[in-house]
Amino acid sequence: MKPDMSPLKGKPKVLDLRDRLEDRLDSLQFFGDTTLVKVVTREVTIVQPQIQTKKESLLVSMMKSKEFQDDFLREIIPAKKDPQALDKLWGSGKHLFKNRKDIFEDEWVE
Amino acid sequence: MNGLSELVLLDTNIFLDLIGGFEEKDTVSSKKLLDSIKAGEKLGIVIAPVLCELYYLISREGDEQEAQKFIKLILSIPNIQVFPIGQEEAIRAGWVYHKYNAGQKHKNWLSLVDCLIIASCFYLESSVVCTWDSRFEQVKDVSIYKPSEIVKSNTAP
Repeated sequence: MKPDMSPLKGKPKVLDLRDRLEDRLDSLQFFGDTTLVKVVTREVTIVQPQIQTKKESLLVSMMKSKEFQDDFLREIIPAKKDPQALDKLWGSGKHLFKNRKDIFEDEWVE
Repeated sequence: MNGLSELVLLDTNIFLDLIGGFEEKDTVSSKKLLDSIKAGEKLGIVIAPVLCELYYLISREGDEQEAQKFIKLILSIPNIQVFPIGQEEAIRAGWVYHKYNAGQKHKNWLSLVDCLIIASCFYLESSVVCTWDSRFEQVKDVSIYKPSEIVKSNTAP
């Protein structure tokens, strides 16, 4: 029997898993100002965005923190957010693209 | 775009637009969208493979140091979150790739990263995809917007 690959009828059920995860905190990472929760277990995959409680909730990730064991990545992945980052970025790469008017065309990205 | 769509999956070209300062491409919309994310009005989601695209594209046009600098700054923007791709998104992306690319001319093909973005949108509640790429217009399974459309809906009375 072929697996059902038709578009999902509905979104995954949203559950509050924070309480249930508390006994597994040694395998989780917490970041202060985000809310996206993705939990993958053998039984269920749940993605839980909670915008309405963003400022008070936490990101829970089941990813191992391999990026922080890698010197190369430690230099690139920021340890904290920078409110000035967006302004630093805006237009700062003009020199990279001045001869690439085709930046949005397929061939450029492929 | 309704008020419930608070998660915005950002395509690679939103960031290239931002750092390139392509004013003729309405860069201001990309900046305004990211401003609203920075302000906490929305959460910006970057799927991990977009970081891969950014790294190789910027290092190809410039050098690796610049690629690393820009990626670090992008990840530093408040309320930008990286979404890891799991087996569900990967399999769904294969389904999207087949659905939209089979029988199409190559120039209209969605890239694998495009398909991973669309697949991630399946699994994130209240999410939309934001891109300048016109090839996304054929996709009907998830909501697709240009930055200018999101910004406009935010400022509408």
